[in-house]
Amino acid sequence: MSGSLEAALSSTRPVRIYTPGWEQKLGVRIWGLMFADLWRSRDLIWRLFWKQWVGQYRQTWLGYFWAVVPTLVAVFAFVLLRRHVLPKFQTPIPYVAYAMWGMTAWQFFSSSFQSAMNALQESGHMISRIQFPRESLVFASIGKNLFTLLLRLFAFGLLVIWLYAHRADVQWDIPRSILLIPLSLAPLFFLAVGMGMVMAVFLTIAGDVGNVTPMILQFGVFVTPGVMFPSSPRWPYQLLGLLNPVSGIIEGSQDLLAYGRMTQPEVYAAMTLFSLLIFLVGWRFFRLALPRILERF
Amino acid sequence: MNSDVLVRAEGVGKKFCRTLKRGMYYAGLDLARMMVGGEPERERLRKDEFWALDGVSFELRRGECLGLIGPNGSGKTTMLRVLNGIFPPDRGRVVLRGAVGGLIQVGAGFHPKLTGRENIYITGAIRGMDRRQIEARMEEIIAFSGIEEFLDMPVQFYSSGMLVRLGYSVAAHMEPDILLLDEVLAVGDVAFRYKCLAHLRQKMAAGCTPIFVTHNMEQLSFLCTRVLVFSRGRILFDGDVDEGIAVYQDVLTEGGRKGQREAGRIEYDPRADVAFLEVASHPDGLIRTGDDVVIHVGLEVREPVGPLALRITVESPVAGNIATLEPLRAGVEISGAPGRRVLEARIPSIPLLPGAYALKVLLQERDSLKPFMRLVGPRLLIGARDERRARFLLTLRDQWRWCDPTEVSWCRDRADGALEAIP
Repeated sequence: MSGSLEAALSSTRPVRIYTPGWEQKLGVRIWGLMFADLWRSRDLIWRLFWKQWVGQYRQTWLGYFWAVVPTLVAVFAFVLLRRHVLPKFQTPIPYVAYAMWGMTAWQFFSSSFQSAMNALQESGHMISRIQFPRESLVFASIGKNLFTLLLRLFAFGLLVIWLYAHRADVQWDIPRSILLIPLSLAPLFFLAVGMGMVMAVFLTIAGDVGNVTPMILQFGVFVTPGVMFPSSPRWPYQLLGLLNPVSGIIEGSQDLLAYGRMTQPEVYAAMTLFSLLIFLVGWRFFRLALPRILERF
Repeated sequence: MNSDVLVRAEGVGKKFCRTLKRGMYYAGLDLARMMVGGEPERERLRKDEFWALDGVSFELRRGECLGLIGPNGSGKTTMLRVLNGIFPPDRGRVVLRGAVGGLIQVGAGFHPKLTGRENIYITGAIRGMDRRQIEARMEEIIAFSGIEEFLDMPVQFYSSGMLVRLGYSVAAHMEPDILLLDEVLAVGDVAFRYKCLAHLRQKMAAGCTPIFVTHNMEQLSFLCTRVLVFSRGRILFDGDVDEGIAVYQDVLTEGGRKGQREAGRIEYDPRADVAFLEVASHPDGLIRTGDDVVIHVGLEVREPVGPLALRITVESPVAGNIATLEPLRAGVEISGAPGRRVLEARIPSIPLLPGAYALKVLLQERDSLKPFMRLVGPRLLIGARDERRARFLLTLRDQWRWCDPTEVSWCRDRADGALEAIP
């Protein structure tokens, strides 16, 4: 039996053997397969992203303008709130820029998370009928959010220029590295994909997840320092900033914007490591769970 | 494993859960176990679970073409998905040698707002082709689809037939060693279907080994060299195509006997009605090919209506509607005067081959075509005789002999040696 199997394996054609739980039994070698699948599907990821993106904007007049609107609306509301409702607080850079940056980062995280979570459901029947690396659906769904992020960062750039052109009282030395600062948001990508992959599995098992998550994310704006207001050094509000990985990352990047360096690099580093860990764990969980849940599509 | 064996299934089992809620619970439970390094429940059937595949074993060699047939829910498609690696089996194992490709869900991944050409790239990528491979085959794909002139139009304006053409053309230009097909040739127009069949034959000649799930016996016997008949997750028969088809029809007949009572009835207008429809029984309880069949139809007209028309349609599970029985064609008129009457239809020497056929009744007003009622009557069961020489659906009672060329006009019109010139 095993002898004949070796004969099969030694021939030049690829041999696939499917047994109960074969992926599980690969142990650590599964990572090789996962990265190989990711590399193999780079073309597919690009095509799936392109399909979503073009499909979304092809039948619109204002096109990409719509990508920026939700951020502008939220920032406008924040500015009004701060002026008339909220207690006074200081931000290291002009508030409108602060809120715009924070909201751009938050929306990138929350929409990426939701896209990743819904990627399997939105692919329809093909997911249970055609064999292809399913992660590519998740990664492709993030592409749309990355592109939207770029457009919003561009809008942020316009806002900064406008601030300098029209407001004489601006006290903000823009660091020369400003064009590189968006890269400091990269951990949000890993965090969103990792969490999204885990939730995608849960969503398949129980539809309830799809109802709860948007509520939690909407609430997230108010408990994530760095989006609407900076974190407070006072107990217990301090915890919000320290325990929330999204907050640690956004505030780190806001420090870069304001001072060109981070005031709490250790928090940012810890949150970045945490995000990478979540990404790897989430991806592994996704691979582990997928064969068991694909029959549910 | 012999180098010619491309696919080997050894005692493959796969179970599913009948109910959604319990399935959710089991999936959650299994995942929790897997997370702590345990095994999901594979061997034991929990409540509401059943084996969709149960101990399926077979080998497939290069050059064969395997057909999978069986009633709905017998496990064919599940088998195909296990072969495709979509989910692993719960028992046994599958060994595949060579690249596997699927002609399954041919339009998968199409985006309605993108053009045909753009969608070729997407669906090609889903099937594992990269940009270069797609571009190298683009001309071929477009030519095969036969819809060049619509290629730069968004596919949301395509007809369903055009979508199938495009989807099939992309999927068909992969070059796998093992090709899995699931009912893909069930749609599209006849000309395109034949084109696809011819194309598949070419691929087989080039060394591709197809596995084919279908309900179409004609395509099956055109392509396959061997069939597996599935019933309730097990292989009932493995071997020759003609014999397999006969076994399959027996399975359907068996199911048909059990389904005698599942008649459906739609009443549109209570003024006229078909009270009953009965196939007169034969002495030994089963009608066979070549027997005379007698059908009795009871009509009840409750209020005066216009002249009536009755039509009984004979439907085959594998070929769709195949014949109609109409009293009017035989010159028998049905007046709309109130009363109860019984009509008799006699079909001498029925040419249908073994199987379960549905009889569908329509009673309507002759002039306005307004329906009074529709009914799916009892099945017409045709049993097998000992010899199973005829194939497909009908026997035409063909008679053959040698004849003198002078009797034949084609030969008379030509000089000697004309027989060689027969095209």
